[in-house]
Amino acid sequence: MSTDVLREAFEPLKDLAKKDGVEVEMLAVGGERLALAFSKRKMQTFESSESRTAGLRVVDGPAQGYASTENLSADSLVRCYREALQNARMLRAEAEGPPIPLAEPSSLTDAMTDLFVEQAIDIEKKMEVARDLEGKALAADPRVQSVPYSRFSEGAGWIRVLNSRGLDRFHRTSGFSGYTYVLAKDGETSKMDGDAFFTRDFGKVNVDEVVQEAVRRTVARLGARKIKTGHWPVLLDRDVAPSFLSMLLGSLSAKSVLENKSLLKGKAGEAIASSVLTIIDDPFERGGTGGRPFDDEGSPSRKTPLIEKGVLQNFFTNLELAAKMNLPHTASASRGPSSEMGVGPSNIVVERGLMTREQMLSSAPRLLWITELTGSLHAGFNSASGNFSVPAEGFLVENGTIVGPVDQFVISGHILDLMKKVTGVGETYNKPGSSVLVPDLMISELSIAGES
Amino acid sequence: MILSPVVLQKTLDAGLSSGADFADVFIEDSWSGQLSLLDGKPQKAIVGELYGAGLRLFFGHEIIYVTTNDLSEAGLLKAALQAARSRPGASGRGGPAVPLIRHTFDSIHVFGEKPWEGDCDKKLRWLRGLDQYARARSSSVTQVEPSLLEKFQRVQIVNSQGLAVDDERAYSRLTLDVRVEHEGLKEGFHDNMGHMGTSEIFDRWDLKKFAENVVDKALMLTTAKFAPAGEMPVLIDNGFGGVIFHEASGHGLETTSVAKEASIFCGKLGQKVASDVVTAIDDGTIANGWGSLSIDDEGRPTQKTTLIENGVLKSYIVDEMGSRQTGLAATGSGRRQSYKFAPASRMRNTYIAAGKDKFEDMIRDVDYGLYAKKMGGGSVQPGTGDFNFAVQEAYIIRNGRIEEPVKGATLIGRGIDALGKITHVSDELELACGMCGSVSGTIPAAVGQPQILVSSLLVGGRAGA
Repeated sequence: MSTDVLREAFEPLKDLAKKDGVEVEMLAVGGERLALAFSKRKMQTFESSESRTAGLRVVDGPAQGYASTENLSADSLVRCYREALQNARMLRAEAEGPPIPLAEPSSLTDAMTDLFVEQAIDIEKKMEVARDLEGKALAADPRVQSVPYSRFSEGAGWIRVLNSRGLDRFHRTSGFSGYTYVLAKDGETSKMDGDAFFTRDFGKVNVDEVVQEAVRRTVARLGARKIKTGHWPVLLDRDVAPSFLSMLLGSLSAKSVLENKSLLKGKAGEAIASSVLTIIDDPFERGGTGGRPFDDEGSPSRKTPLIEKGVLQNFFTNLELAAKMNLPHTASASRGPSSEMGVGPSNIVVERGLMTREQMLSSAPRLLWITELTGSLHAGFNSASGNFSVPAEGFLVENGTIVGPVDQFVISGHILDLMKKVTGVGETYNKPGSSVLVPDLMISELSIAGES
Repeated sequence: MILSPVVLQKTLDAGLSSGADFADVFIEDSWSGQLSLLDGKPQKAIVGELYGAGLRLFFGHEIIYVTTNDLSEAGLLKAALQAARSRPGASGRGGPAVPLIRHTFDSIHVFGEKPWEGDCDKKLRWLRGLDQYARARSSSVTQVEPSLLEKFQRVQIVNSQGLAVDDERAYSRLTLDVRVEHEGLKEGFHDNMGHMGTSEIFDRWDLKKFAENVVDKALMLTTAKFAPAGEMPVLIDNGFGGVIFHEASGHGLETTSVAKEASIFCGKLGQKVASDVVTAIDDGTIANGWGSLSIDDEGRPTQKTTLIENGVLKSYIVDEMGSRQTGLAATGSGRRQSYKFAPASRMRNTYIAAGKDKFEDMIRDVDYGLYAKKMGGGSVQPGTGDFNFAVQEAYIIRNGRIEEPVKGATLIGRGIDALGKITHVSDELELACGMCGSVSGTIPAAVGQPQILVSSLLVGGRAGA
């Protein structure tokens, strides 16, 4: 969507807001996406989408109302403004406190224009990647039965924030991604696993690497045995560690503290995790997918220490929460055009340690290396209590040697307790494609429920 | 009707221009709204509009899918031509689409006033009611967050075989999130109630009982001990307990998995896949049912489909492409979250039919086991049938009696294996609302069953509990 069209569309809304005595902000996002998938060596899916959505936030003193639309005609946007205004007015009667601030125009620390790479790639080349993601996996190992899920995607997206204080920001990103998940069978047991990639440079797409890793991971899990119930030392693989960190992130939100939902309320300055853990929120980190030059209300991004040597440093805030709670502003405003203003992380970066995986695997005579969470966190994590209970799979390791794969067990505990039990941090980050950068984590002990 | 048939006819013709053998267009204009309270005050008011088209072409078993927000004639033709030209090497010349004939149907669903015309004060009254009932139930309540979610979807579907049909679907749901703190222990519980219809239904439903039950369950968790671990008989309650069939079997019966040979149910039609006491149905025709339809998202009339009868696999859940791939007739099960997703074979209201056993007798038969009263979410890998579920509310059964509550239980198993271990099915069938996420997005789907007894399942609890 060209810059001027949205600006022109926003001007009349600004005038209306002025007349109504309120402030207005438009968060517009859009993009293009192409996805290609093969099945049984034939092209199966070609999906191309183009989208754009404008979300309006009308601020009436301490109250705010929202409305969004995908119909960006002038009439539709005015209707959308009126709905947002009506929503704000409805909440106004019972809202208290100072007016909600909007971002003021200012310059950015880092415009991060390198997150968008203009590359015109021939469609045949993209087809070849999609074809190989399935075909090479089918041919890689006789135990591979089928490739139920594989896909290549190309995407470009943009975000625009305009407000009645005169702010106007624009940013865009692009990338190529893909995955392949193979179903392998050996005797009576079958397993499905896979691998994925993300890059901004098509030249760096390496299908062979992804396919080999997908097949290696799946085949390695065949013939898994059950494991005895008990307390085990655990190595959390860097590919599953992001799931555990995400359990902590909700509690790092100042909004959840204000709403009395955070497990970390009142704990700023306290040791809430092991002293080997240092975690920052880094919007400028190029290795993560959560990079952004400004947050979703247009405030310039900044780095924020969250946990330093185990001690809680900051909660995520936006302008409203920082003012209301008298906390440092971390520029973590987060929302989509059709959702309310909240806060959220950009890239979560865990400081690397010095241990190699081999060193970690031999750091206890017997341990469990957890490589896969088979249950969804949404089901297995209770954010109110902090207790988690998640089905997992992995490998039994004795004296640094992998004995074999294990499955059908549940790991459980309390997320804050887990953070205190981290005894070692690896030296290598998980692979690109995530907004959480984390190495392998050694955990002194976790409850494992398997067979009795 | 959202768009003129003349424009849509041209769009279909453009889609077929490079040799596609089928084309359809799904036009959507949807309104959705959310209203929430926090700290007893209105806190969130959001409305949104989805407005777009999804154009789909079939070249044999290949699917081309293109979406756009530009519903002008030029915008649709551009999308259609882009789809037609997107297939490298496509050089065929498709004939024009069959002239559109508008199909009408008598909807079995009854809707009241449109949600944007509804009285906001009335909506706030339901939410304030939930807030007050919850707070009055216990002084341990620390936070109450009731929300009203409403959606009104208008769709228009046309295809190159001459079908032109339009439909309206309304959905209303109340959700309640309660946090409690008791003797230093924090817990929370979440529940929802809703139907395919407009929100005036909440004037008739018992909001007090609903709110008090959510508080009671949260308080129960503060005193419950962690569940034990190991294999044991599991008695799964009716209503939302049916999510286990939905995950463990239902997804594997969708042709989306079957045609890819990514399902344990491949090639098993006519074979025994469950114990004799199991009959399972996927029904889109329940009046105002949460997962009901009039027509599916491919424009076909929905149906009631028997999936398993007395343990024997009778039918898969089949969409248009699934029908092409498997040669089976479509079952009116093509569904999608919105125009942003190509349709896929998906469940509607899926349940295990009522059996003959009495619940009381089923409990009496268990020496030691788990009574899984309220299931949480779960997931499955259709290819291996491995499933797992969190249990939100569970009790130990000892010597034929339901005893102390336990928390943190997870049920783990394999689809066909678990179906074979169902030994008893009660006569008390109940359905419950769920949101089901899969390839074509997140859609309303009801799950259900009578109480069932599974002779042995792996319960993941906590070591030493």
